[in-house]
Order: sequence, then C-alpha cells, then structure tokens
Amino acid sequence: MSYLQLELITKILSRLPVKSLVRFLSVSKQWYSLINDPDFVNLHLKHSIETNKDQAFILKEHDFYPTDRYFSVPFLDKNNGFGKAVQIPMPLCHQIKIAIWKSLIRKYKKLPSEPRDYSGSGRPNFAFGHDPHNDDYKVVRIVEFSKEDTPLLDFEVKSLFLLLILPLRNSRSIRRRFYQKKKKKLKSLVVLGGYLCFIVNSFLKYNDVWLMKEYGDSGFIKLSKAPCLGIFIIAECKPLVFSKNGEKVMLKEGHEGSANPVWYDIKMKRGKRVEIQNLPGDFSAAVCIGSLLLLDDGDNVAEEECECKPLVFSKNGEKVMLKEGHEGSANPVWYDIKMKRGKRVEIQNLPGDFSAAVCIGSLLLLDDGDNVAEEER
Amino acid sequence: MSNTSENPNPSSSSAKITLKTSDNELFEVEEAVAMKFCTVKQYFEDEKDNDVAARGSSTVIPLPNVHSAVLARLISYCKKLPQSNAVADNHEEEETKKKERKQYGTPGDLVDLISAANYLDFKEGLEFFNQALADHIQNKSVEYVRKFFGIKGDFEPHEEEKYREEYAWAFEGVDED
Repeated sequence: MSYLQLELITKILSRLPVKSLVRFLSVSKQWYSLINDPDFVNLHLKHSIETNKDQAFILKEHDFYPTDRYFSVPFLDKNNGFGKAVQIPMPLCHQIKIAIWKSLIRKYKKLPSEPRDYSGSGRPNFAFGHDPHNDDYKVVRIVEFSKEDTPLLDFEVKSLFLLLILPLRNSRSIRRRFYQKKKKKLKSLVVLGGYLCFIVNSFLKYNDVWLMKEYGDSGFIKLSKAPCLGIFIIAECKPLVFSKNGEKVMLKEGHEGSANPVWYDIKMKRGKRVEIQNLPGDFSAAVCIGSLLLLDDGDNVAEEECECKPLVFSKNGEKVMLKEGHEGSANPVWYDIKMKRGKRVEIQNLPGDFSAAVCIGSLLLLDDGDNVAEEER
Repeated sequence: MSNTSENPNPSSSSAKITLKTSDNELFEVEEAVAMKFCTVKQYFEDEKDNDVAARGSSTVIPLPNVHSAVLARLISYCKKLPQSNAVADNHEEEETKKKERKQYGTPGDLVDLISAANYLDFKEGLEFFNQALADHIQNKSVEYVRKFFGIKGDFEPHEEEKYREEYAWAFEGVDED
C-alpha cells in the first residue's frame, strides 16, 4: 500500500463529521491549513447539505423569565432520532452586542461592534444567511419601533424599522431605516425565493413584503399588499428539517405554551411524534448544519461563567483557588499564578454547585454561651 | 463525467475489451464495464477517428498504474454496482451500507482502490471507496491517522497539548487503534 495524494485525502476528509475534523486539525500543520481553507469549508458544507449530515436543532424556549434559554439538540444517525437537548451557555453580556454561537465547536464568535442606535422597546429580529453574490455570510438585524421610541421623527410616521446587515467577510455593512405611515407590526425576517425579505403586517389584513433584490441600500423593493394567508403559513408553520432521504419532513406541532416536533411522512401523509429528552415546553426552532465555517478565527467570546471568584491563596501565595464551572456544576481549581496553569481539586462530599466564602480559623467568639443548637433530622 | 452518454456503437454492447495491468495480467471485460472507467473510454474516443477497427478485443489497453489484485476488485464492484448513492434513512439501512462498503478489503486495500479509481477516472467508484475510508477513520485517533496516511506530526508538544485541552470534547469516544 502506498500513501494517498493530498488531493484525494481532501475528498475523503470532506465526508467526515465536524467532530472528527476538529480532532484531525492537530494531525499536522498541513492538515490544519487544509481543514481551515475556505475551499475545503465550502466543499465540506456542500457535502453535509447534500447528505443531511451533522445537523442540530437550536431551540429557543418561549416565556422563560428573565432571560431566554437556548438548547441544542443533535440529530443522530440512528433512526432519524435526536439526542438530548443541551442548554447553550450564554456569552458574557458586557463583552458583546451580537455574537454567533458556533454550535458544533461550542464557541461564540464576536461580531464587529456597531453602535446601538436604538433604545426602544422593540425586540430585534435576527437572521443569518449566505450571500452567494459576494460569497459572504451575513447577519441581519431588524428592530421595530413604536411611536414613543422615536421622538426624532415627524408625526406622520407611526412605525419605524431599522435594518442592520453585518457581513462576516468581504462586503460592507448596511444600515437602513424604513418608515411606515400607519402603525404596523413586523412579522418576520425570512428568505423567500433566494431574497432576504421582511414582512410587515397590518392588523391581519394584509402584509407588506420588502425584498432585497440587490445587495445595497437602494436594492430594496416593496411588494405591497401581499395576501395575508400565504405568508402567515410560511412564517408560522415552518418545516424544520427533512429526513435523510427527503421522504419525511419535521414540523412543529402545538399551540402556545406547548410544542412538539413531529416527523411527517410525505408519501404516507402520516405524522409521528418525536421524543426529545430535556425539551423545553414551548420553543422556536432553527436548523443548524455541520459546517467548519468560522472554525477558529480568533474572535471567540468567553462563555458566561457562573462566577470566577478567587477563593483563597495557597500558603506560599503562589497559587490561588478559583471556582470553575457553569450553571449546575462547579469545581474548585488551584490556579498556579506563575505557571498559568490550573489543577482541579477533589473534595469529598462537595455539592454540585455552590457559592463559597473563606473561613479563617480564629478563636474569636470561641464559647461565649449564646450558642444555637443544630437542626436535628 | 456521466456514464449514460450514448454508446458509439450499440450493436456491440457485449463486446469485450482487454485491459493489461502493471503486473502484466490480462483482463477481458465487457465493454459496458470498461466504459465506466473514463480513462479507458477516453482512449477509445481518441482512437476512434483514426482507426475504427481498433475497437474490440484485438486492442490491449495498458494500465501501468493498476495492479491486477486491485483491478479484480474494481471489476467485481462494477458488476454489482450498488445503489450506493441513495441516502439511507434509518439505522439498519445505514449499517447495511457500511458493511457493504467494508467488504472490498482492508483499509490498506481501500487506499489502493481509491488511487486506482482516481487514475481510471471512475467517479462512482471513487465516491464509494472514499466514503468507505471516511467510515473507517471517522472515530480514529490522531496517532492512527498519522500512521495510516504516513504523516509526521509537526506541532510542538505544548501546542498540541493546549489544543487537546481546548477541544477535549472532540477527543472523546475515539476507537481503540
């Protein structure tokens, strides 16, 4: 047996899941640059899309106060089944305004910070997509304002939408305002027929559909008064994902407050409920395809850590004890200040998650009589 | 390239073509099989204009980059070309396909089959054997992959250690070598 040429190795590697490729980045410097190469990333993504491989759902739980919780559910190869829903840790809020969660490598990417040009109560809508003309990926944000939020505008204007497009690679960002003379409600930001479009609804009567025909400020056209029904179906009853052979489609079933994914067999016209462990009661969902895009471009954002409070110094002052871990699990770590290295500490009987304070051995109040009995079980 | 392009001479579809391997073995194969190898097909297309009589078993096509053991496997694969490109929809189906991909030899044999399929410009075969090899290495360790592809690790030990710590999850669940 002889060894394979790099060209053939590339073809074989493009068929591997992201997890294997992340591991094989450390094979050699040549493989590292190969797997990070934009052409390879595209080849791999194309193959993943064609074969429906390496997919995950990203779910957003509805009505969870005070912050939204997001979950990632891997799509397993076995029987079109799903893995356990895992909560996605949130990024440190003060560091960033917009970030991308890179699901498969479990990191956030920081996006260029743009001035926050709104202060209103409007909740931003986000979309992420590929722009084939510029071969760039873009993040789009649109915010809706009510009249009170927009003191700077004349009285005629009742609604304002602010659109921001953040490109990741090579095209320029776009900010644009849209004014509406009547009070209207923003419905959704979607891609229809290959165009970015957002839908503005006027009291369930009709929809204004804005399409971005060409990339740029002047590329927008308005398709006025599109019939309500069709657009609502697209926005509200969105198919989530096709099964591997394309014969089934996953739909979200359920009403406000409870939702369940269902495999719908297109030929047999029959649906079957899907069981996912840990699934939030109600959710919005998006599909995430295994891609090496943005694998490790350095702009990563730290996850929110529960607390990273120093607990105590070691006797010689060269180490400091820190608490490491996320929600629900914590572990003390000795961090060596000189060597910049941490080492986990094993403590028997430690609770899963904790806050900690240090107690110094002192004779103060040793026995002054006012003791309280312990609670007996 | 597509394999469904028109046959230049449909009446001779059962004609035989002789292929000669690197170790001087002769293989007489059906034209339909030989035409799946674009390199062989190209040979005929180049010859066709000059000499129509060159077609058929009277011509021997040399394949100096292909060993007889490898060609025998490729031909047996051609004869029962599986519907390998349809995507499996459930676990059992996927496992059956994986087994099917395994039966063409050891991982080392797969490397030879891939090289030969590439040389012969045999697209379906190349995809099939590439997938077979991808199945094989998917859960393998970095050390195994280095050895298998003849690659020397050139990261500094501390760089590699740091990487393994950062992406520890990618190193979980790896097969024993």
